[in-house]
Amino acid sequence: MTQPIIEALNLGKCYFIPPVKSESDNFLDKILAIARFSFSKKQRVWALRNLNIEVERGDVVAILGDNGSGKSTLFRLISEITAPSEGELIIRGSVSSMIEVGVGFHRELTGRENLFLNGALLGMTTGQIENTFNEIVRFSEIGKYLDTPIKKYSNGMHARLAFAVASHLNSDILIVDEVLSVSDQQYRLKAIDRLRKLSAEGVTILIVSHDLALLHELCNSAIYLKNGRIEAQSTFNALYEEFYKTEPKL
Amino acid sequence: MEKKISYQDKSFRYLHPLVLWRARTLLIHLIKRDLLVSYKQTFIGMTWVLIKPFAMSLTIVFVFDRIGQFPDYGFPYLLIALSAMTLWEFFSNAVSRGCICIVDDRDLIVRANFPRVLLAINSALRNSIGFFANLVLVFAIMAYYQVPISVNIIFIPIIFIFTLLLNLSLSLWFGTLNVFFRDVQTLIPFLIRIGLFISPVAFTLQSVPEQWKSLFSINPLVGLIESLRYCLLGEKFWPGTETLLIGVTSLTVLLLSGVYVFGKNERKFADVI
Repeated sequence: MTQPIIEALNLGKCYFIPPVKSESDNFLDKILAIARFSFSKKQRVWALRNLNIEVERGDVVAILGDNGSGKSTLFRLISEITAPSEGELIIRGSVSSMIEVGVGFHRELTGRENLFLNGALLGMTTGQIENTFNEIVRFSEIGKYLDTPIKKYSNGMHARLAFAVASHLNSDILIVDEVLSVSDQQYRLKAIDRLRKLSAEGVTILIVSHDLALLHELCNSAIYLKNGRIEAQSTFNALYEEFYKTEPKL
Repeated sequence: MEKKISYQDKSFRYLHPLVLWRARTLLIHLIKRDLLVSYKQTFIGMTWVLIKPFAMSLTIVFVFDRIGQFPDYGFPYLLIALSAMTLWEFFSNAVSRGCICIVDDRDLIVRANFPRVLLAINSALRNSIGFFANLVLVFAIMAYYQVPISVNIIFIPIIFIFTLLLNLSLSLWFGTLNVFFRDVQTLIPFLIRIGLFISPVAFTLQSVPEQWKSLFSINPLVGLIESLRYCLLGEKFWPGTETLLIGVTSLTVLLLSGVYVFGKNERKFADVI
């Protein structure tokens, strides 16, 4: 069993965007464009291209890169939310993803109701949710607000509940996209602890975060994306040295 | 467990029975969510389910009984209208929800991976409680007018299932179309209103001229509504084998084409929504 848990072979994803309208287009031009059927000619934009990665079982991988470099697209492809336009992706395990905090959370529903809905969306059965229910509630520190509609929750509570559910799934791959940013320091440490524990249990974790200190503590390997291509891929420390140490802002 | 995701993959992944079976938990929670959400912060809550079709039937009775002319079937007109209204309410609720079912849950579509067809199934099932609650109301009114209950009521579950399939086919069709063309959600309420007049809700199949009956029966609701009347009020309303066969055929065409259209486009939802 030495096969990588995630393998991307020449993976690519393109989107179509309408072209920027030029200022000089007057009314007549527009009419002519419609007449020529050229008004909706869309441009092809590659969000990700020629991606070849291998992630080993149990790795904690940081996905680094600026905004728009394709991090979220990669996550969407791995969690099968969107389909690739090019290449292949081989996944040898179950995936659960925290693309954003609280998928499917409904404002009017209580914490308890949302917990079940969210768990089900992430692929848990009612039995599994019930079994881990107490643990999730304790971890989320929601306490007495469990039966309050979440429209009355603070951002922090919202994020804590979402993280608690997702981190109690027993999947092989966990995808974490910038979900810890709204938590306070104390909960952040708790979450890091939880992720570390999961990783020790053999769960493979992919993280996007702008919090380099957090990544530094957790990750053993890293992928640096730039404009949808892989710029570098190695251990986290090596990449960290290469791309961030030199920048004065850190 | 190895899963290969390829750009060439165009298969109808959601039709896999195992996938659907595993997704039942989520379906239950989606149904629960919609039930909880629709009646939170309302004053009379679930009672709306009963009031709406009843008030609508009373209106129909008033308009057609007092102002218009209609043949005497030997039953109070209220019963004839309300039995059809029961099914109509179930159908129209599901379809108007069905056309926005994908767009309305765009948060789920772009952030979570689950069989998208659940959203269509969920909207097809919407208001099924209302359907049965209204049947109880029909029985109560039948008791009031001392209309005997026929044994045909055992066929009601079959009618329910066929209506469900009709709801599902239209939800698949309109839900998918609405992702690409939002015109659909403006058009549907209008179409539903027309549907009320071209379906035998305020009248019965008997009022339709003989030479038009086959054409009229292409609307699957004709067979369904008349069958429900047959189940509740008796032999007089038997729609005829021809009507039923035409109805089932057009329902099958709708369902298969809906499944196809949905399956072909379902992978693009997250990108275009």
